[in-house]
Amino acid sequence: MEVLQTHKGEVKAANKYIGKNIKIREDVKLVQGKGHYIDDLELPGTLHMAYATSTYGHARIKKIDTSKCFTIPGVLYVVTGEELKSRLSPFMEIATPPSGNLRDYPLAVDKVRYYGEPVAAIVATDPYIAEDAAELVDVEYELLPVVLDGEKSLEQDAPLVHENIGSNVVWKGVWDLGDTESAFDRADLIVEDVVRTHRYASVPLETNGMVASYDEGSNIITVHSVNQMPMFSLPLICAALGIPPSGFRMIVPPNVGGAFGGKIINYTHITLVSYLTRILKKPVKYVETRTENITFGTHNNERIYHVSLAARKDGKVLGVRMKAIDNCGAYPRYEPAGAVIWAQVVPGIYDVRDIYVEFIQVLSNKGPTGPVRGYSRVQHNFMWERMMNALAKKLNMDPTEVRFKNLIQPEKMPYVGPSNTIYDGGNYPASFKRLLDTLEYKKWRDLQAKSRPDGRLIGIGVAAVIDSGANNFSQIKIINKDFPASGNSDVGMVIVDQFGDIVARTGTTDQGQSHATTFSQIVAEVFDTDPEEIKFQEGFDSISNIWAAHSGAYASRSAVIAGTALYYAARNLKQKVLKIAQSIMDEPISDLDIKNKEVFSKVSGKKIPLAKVASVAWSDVGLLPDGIDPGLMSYAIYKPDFKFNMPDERNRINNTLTYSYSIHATVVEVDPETFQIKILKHVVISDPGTIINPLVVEGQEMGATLHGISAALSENLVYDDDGILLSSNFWDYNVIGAKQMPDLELLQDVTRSTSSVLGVRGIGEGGGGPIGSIINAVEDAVTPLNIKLISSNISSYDLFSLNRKNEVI
Amino acid sequence: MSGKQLVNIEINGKKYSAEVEPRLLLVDFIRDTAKLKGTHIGCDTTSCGACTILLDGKSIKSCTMFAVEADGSKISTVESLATDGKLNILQNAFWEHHALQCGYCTPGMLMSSTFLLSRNPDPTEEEIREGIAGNICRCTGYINIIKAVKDAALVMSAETGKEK
Repeated sequence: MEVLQTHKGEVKAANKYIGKNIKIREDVKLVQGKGHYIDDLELPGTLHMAYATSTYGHARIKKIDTSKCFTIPGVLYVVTGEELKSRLSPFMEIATPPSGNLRDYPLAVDKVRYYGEPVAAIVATDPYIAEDAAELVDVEYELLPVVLDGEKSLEQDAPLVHENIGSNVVWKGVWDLGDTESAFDRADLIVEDVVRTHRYASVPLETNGMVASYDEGSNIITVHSVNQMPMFSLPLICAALGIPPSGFRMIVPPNVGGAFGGKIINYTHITLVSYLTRILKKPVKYVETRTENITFGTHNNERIYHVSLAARKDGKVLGVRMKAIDNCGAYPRYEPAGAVIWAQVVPGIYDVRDIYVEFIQVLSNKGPTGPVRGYSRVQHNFMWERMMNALAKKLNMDPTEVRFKNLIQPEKMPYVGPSNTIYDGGNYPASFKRLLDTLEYKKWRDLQAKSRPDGRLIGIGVAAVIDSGANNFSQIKIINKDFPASGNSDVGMVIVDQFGDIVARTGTTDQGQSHATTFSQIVAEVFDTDPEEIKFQEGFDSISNIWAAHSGAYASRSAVIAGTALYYAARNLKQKVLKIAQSIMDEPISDLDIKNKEVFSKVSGKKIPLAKVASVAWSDVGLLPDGIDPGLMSYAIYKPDFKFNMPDERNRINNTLTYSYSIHATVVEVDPETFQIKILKHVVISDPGTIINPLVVEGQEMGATLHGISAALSENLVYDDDGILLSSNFWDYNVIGAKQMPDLELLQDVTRSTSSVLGVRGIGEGGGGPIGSIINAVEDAVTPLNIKLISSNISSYDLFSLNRKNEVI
Repeated sequence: MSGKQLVNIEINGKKYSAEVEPRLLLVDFIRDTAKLKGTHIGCDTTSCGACTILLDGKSIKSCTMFAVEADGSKISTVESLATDGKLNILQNAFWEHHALQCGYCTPGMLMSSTFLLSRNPDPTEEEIREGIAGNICRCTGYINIIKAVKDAALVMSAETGKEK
């Protein structure tokens, strides 16, 4: 496997600035309220857009009367899907026909397909007026039957969400890996189960927002938006508008108030404000209300698994077969990418090679889905963790013992999985053991046993999940071989300016990941200069800043890909500095190095300030040695080699570069009367790879844990039978607060990634670890009540209802 | 909408006077009339606390009060906390503990915590959790925020001790 170890210590083992707990520079302005978020932007003469939205889950639009809107002074324009149908092209779909033929516009055309879908947009001089006018849009609907459940949407007589594609199927594919037939033949037992994941959302505290303006002179539309994949979105928007990409400028402000995947499919709104600014010749601004954000901001996919797992009676899993039905809501948008992204973690964290997966993604009359923290892997990881518990139960084994039997062993690292993913190091069993020791697993088991006769319901759950980072876009070619994206790339630029200041840039956006601090640490390492001295230019701009086509902040890729690009750019620039210094100092280049913004000779001790080299390089250019161009500016575009870069005929591909893991252990207590669930202890262990800044890594881990806990115990997008979303604001869609968040114990076992240049792993996703550990713990707690859990979300009400059903039986 | 009313509100020691619609929310007065963008909007149902400010010394959610109701009052926003760019003890503790990531909830968190510490200079962990229960953070998991508030209380009490 030597061939897979591509990077051995590009950065020297003992780093000086990489890995240091340097305080976060961004925090200083943010604690003073001095950030620059999208809603803070006030362009002169800005108009405001508001939506009128659908009050039904599925209905034909018979007539829209917008005339009343204009009775309010200040209303300037009202647009409906009817107008857009003839003026815009439908958005490009990732899937090929037939589902690739479905038509998606910024506003509902002909019918509404989910509750809350925008049906008209009003532009007014003031946001209050725009919202008033939205209330006056009069829509005549003809109700249609709704389909909400993924399995029901596959039934013969199911209502069609998009009639023109002839079914509700977006995409289906098969992964036939290894030899499941033989695995099932050899098995001592087969465990069959159903696992469901529920619908929830990332809900960053800042909603989606955008401001478009149009410059008639240059014929350029400029959009400031919170989009986290700007160069992926730009071609989609331009194609819909029918304008060349050169006529469209995409800017992302320096501060975005969180995203977690939820700021990618906002290109529908960006397209609409762009369309409107071109007509109205004034800036048009739209900021989602919270209700809109929860209704259509990006939901997580619901998935139903029917799983058969073949195992030996000692707990070793031999193979697994499953059918997964994934419900992506009314419009696929970034889907069906998620229908292949789960395959980054096909075997989970376990050494199982014979796997058969039939995957079907379907439409329904629910809000659109898209990336949500841990996108598409959360569901798959949860399935594994539920099946491990189901197997343990069947064998009457301890659930931790079953996992120890199946964890990938460290000597197999880097581990090429059954679908050619390359797990890049780490010692899973040792970490799992350390986690259990820290939790005091045995102590809790004893307490559980001792306290059961008193009626106490204590439960312990574990979940081991893979947290893949830095995706390989080639995976989309499994769906559409002609889709024009593959691999991944980003750009880093380092400048030593005319005055000797070191300035860094990347193509990434930042939604709270502290890029300025961490990227400065990488450049500081190369220049052996205090990171405080490194300036970092924040904010994305497709015209005046640098980018690569995959630039952005998603899929835990920034440190791995942009960080590497920046490292290469810094290294190259350092060489140029030394070359110029060599002629100024008249010393051989091999004797020279840089420290604290000075070039010094390791032999003579002579030194000159970096500013002196910069002055020669930029302005006093007559002094430059022959053959050296003026300027001190270096950029590098880095494209990782995934080894298995493209999918083969069995859909095998290494579809992400790094594979961090985290293992969660949760102890819960369920109140036997109220069924309230309380977390007594939660411990996490992870291997983030080389850490650039521990504060940032811990912050991401705690945040990912919060999202998991909140998803498991609280957040749930509930639709009634008519397709009306019942939880569309923060009272009903309840994200947990400080009182519900338990204390966490975070442990790390750090090993270098064998795949990434700097040894770092992407760690932002979290893999949904707490969801599995909590559901497993709750089920364990209620063992005496014989309650079986299926879903990734549980509430006291659910437990009460399930218990009552048992009583009735 | 007719019938504009004159309101006078003092924000961070500076007087603002404007004719506003009776329905104008106080948060919009702060952000759009006084142009103080540090106070944020994260929901439309008084749930998230990003818009928390102090009104005559008490923490309130400025999205749930009309500007006309605040007529004649004194308001403090996040912009009042630092002095000439120097962070106050609480802000410094947030920085020290990295009690924020995207920074969107931070102004509200700081104002709720400021109010808590003004009433209870030595809060327990439970009291801190209660004190920021009306503020949602989606990034940090709250743990570092709780540590920061606790730490700020300790530093403040040490400083008060010194003054005595």
